[in-house]
Amino acid sequence: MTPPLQHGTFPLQRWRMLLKRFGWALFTILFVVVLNFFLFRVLPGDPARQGIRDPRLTPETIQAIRVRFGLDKPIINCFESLNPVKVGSCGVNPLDTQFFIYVKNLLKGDLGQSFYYNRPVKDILGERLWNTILLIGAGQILAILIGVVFGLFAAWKARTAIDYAALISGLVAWSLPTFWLAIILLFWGTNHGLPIGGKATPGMSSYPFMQQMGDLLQHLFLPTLAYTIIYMGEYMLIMRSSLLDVLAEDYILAAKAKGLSAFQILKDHALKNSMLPLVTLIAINLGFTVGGAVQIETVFSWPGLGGAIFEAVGRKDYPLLQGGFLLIAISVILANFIADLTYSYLDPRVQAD
Amino acid sequence: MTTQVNTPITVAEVEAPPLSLGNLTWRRFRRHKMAIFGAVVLILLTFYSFGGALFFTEKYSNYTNTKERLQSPNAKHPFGTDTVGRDILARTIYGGQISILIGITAAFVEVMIGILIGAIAGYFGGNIDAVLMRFTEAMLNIPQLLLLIVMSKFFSGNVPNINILGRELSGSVIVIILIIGVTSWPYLARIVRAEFLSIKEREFILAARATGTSSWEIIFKHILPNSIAPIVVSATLGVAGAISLEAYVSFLGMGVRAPTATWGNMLENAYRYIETAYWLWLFPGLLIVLITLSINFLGDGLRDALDPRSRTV
Repeated sequence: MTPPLQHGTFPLQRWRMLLKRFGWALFTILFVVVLNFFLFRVLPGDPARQGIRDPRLTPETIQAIRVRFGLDKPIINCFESLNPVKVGSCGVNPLDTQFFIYVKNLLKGDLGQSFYYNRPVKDILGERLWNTILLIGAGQILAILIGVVFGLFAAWKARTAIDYAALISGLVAWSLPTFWLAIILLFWGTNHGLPIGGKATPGMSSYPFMQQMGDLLQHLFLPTLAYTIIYMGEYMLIMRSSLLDVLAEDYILAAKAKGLSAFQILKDHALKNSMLPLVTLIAINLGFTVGGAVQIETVFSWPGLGGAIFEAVGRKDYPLLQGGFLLIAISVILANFIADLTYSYLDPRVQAD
Repeated sequence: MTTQVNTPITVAEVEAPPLSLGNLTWRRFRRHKMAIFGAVVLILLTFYSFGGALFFTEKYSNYTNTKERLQSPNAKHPFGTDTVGRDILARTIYGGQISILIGITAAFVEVMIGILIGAIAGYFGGNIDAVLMRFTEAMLNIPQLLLLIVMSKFFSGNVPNINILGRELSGSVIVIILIIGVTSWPYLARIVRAEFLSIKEREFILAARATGTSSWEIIFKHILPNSIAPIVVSATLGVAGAISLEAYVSFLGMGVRAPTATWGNMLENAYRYIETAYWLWLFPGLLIVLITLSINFLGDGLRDALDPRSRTV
């Protein structure tokens, strides 16, 4: 018999499980790296000509652009391009193919040069990532707070009119198409004098700091509201159902029998355990919404990561797309890993597999 | 507090035959008021988009008349007209047909791929399982929406029109169906795999194997029918997901192309007229909300009704 696991401890077998999970996470990242490389090379269109659509381009200039972005090199051994009919030479130095240069640069932290901006992809994504984090950070915090409070209240008043009202509004919020909700809010916002697009009023950078902040908050308001409404429903539903599950447990009955008040039971016995599914959901959502905020970002032209990817699609800016996809995939993998970690830390019932 | 009264058990109650699984399911479903509401709304919406075709021809729905552009709702055009003077009511009717068609067929593609991959991974296990599940997880780690935007941008552009049942449709409809199906199967595959993992250990599968039943027969005749409940639920939710994904991609102008209308691409130009012409985005948008809501309610009811663990009638 193994001794019963304790809250918040890390026995050896759990370390081993986490190590295994970490290994798989690394493997998945590798997989995404490969998938990413080929995905953006099977897509039609010559990337060298996307940024510059000038008919006066001479073949020499085009060739120079191709050399500049490394597109003159074969994609990988035996394949000049991804056209299976045109078989290239297999005898090239594997280190001199696009694929290995891509991998090598990735290891150095270099994500390549954007075709459109002609700047390092890393810098562009860095700026955009902060805007996205600002949006989803504010949105998540509000959604969690409101969702948890309403969820607790609904579960406490289970099977009353309050509960049903909360349940239905949660389901409605959860199934609203995000972009349509954003359009409605945009409509509402324009009628109330709120800024409806971008991150700052043009020319704001010359104003004092406090005024800039106020301007930023005004721009942030509508996207955050949209985000909060969409995610609030999900948190509320999860909180409600998990608290209901916990309240049905025998130890709650025991606490009742001891004569504890309803508030004491909720505070000391039910709340902590009912938080488990929520914590996992938050971690997973944080990863997904880095890219998932794209619907909100496109409607409000918020200069975030999702918006950057949407624009890069229109411009066929492959390096930017590739970098964005990789960044998002890594954040999802990281978030899943953190979710695993917190879950096994908080719940002693999670056994090593 | 209600006091429990011990009523004597009547003969009829004792002799009532046990309810069949289907009967139980229907009884539980009927109790679910929101699911019934969802089913009713869904039927009404289907009537709206298919019955409405009796009142307007598709030609009328695509008829542009720039003299009547951007008219607010009036007697001649109850939902108003769009930026090139097409009747929005007629377009929501024909657009609804395409949206529903895309929802159902994309979910079908999703279910087929999901079942195939989940079943093979779950049944055969070992290395096959490891490889397939790594692939599935990698797919899950790239947000579907982004993949969808990239793929639809590059593949739904220059597709020739196609002819289905005498109707001229934009070929992008087929492309969008395939793209949504191909990007949404991973969740379903995981669910199917989990079901297969637990069912394949049961005695009746052992018995089937002992009598020399082939693997494919065990998969499709013995395990699959027993794991149908979660598949039905996620297929239902998949229809709602596909409809709203199509709507978003078409709203961005990368989905279904003109002249074919869908509830999504009707919103495309509406974006520029948010303040000035509310009817452009209100009616198609409300229909999308209604259909996704009703399907989600329905799926929620099905989940409870099909759950074999809940035996309450």
